[in-house]
Amino acid sequence: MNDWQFRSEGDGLEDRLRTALRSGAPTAADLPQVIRAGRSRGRQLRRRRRLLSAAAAAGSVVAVVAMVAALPVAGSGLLSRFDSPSPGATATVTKSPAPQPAPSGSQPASKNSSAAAGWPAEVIHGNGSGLPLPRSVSLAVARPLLAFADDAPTIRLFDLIDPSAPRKIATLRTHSTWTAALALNPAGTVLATSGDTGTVRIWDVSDPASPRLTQTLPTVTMYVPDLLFSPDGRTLATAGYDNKVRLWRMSGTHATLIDVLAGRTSDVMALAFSTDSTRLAAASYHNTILWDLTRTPAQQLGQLPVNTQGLIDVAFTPTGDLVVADGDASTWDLSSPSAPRRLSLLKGAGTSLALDPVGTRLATQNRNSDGSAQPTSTLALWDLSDPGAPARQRTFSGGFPADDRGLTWTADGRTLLATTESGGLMAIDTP
Amino acid sequence: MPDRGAPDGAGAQADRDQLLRLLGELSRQQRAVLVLRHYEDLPDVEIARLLRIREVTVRTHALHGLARLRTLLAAVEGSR
Repeated sequence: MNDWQFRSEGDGLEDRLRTALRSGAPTAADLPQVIRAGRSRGRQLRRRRRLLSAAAAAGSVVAVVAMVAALPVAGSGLLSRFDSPSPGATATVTKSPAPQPAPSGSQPASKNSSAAAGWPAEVIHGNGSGLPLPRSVSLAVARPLLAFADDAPTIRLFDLIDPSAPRKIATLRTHSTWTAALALNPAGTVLATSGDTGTVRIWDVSDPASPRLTQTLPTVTMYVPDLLFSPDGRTLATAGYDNKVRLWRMSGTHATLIDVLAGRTSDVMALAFSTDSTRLAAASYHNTILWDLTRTPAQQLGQLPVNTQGLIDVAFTPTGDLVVADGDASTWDLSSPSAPRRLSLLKGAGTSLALDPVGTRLATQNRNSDGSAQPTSTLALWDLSDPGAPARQRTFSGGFPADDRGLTWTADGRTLLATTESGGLMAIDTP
Repeated sequence: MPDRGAPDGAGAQADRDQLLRLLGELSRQQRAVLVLRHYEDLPDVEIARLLRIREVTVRTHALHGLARLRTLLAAVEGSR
């Protein structure tokens, strides 16, 4: 620890503070609340729908199991397996083969005999430091490959060919301390990672058993909170704390800077590509800017107001509407992008969202942000067939502690994955 | 008051209460850093990870937070 400079005052203030904090002052020392407050200046990161992040609280094993038990309506809806497309499946949205039931005897020897959601203990629990640390998960679309970063300077790749027994393929040594964000390209052949100092690295994972670092992008900003591949795999977008988005053309595993998107905005926190890869939405707590990527340089098409100082998440529907979650969830008609038209408003729906691959179901997750010791939150599923009138389908409440989390749907749309603050990854059956 | 001035008596408790009250006057990030450091005993690198700020920012918050605490303490103690 480099805290010599703080010990030098010699007035005993820190000792007094330590004594005071430990003398039984629950409000001052409520750890989740402290962390929420410390993050709440707006430094939160919001992974888009294909990147999950979770904060793992102490005692994840117990917490994950308890989480499952705490879900009142989960019951049969919770999967003990993970459904993913078979290897070689295309990136298009197709129904995957029938999910394989998890044979009860095939569970690998594991620390976690309950195997909540069928994930290996290593995924659910990280390296067991017991600290509530951010994690990042990315799923490839075209192959059953999972990339996972947790509380160590490593990223691990898991093979999900047999969803009941995910298998670790490789461990990458990456950034000096931890990984801020990671993304697999849709084909699952390239992995992009960003470290805590703004360094972005590109890895060739076409052979996941022997990943190769192929490129380190020039560091241009102190932090890259989010990065994302376009659905066509040709473009990598990186968000930065310099209020800019950078676009990189992917040629194989090599990224070349092609554009810097600078608008009147603040720290860009969330990115979303339209499904045809021609538009990009960049959300900050200042506004959300829409960019036309068919022009070079990209042209600003319009912007949407943002109603939050905190978290925000965005996603495009396959028909080109935009869904925004900034506390409330709203759907926007962008057919005249200079004048986005709001179609619907779901009050209090949340700050995190995911659309299923066909865009007819929306999952939202809200969080209690009042800093209370026992935050409550809700995960809701909405029928979005009519973007003008989303209808609530299911609600799960009470089992998702507030704050950092992510949501994603598997490529076959059968399973919704929801991360929880306790570090678990919930798999919810959404047939 | 028989225990006035005793190390663990009412005076010490008052000192602790006051410190915690003053802690509440720091910025949220300063407070978070100080609590994580001195209550949780976390190293700066872990605090940085938790709060998603850089390690150098952790040190800045701690430095400024302690400096502000000293100022606040001097003010209340001086007005006694």
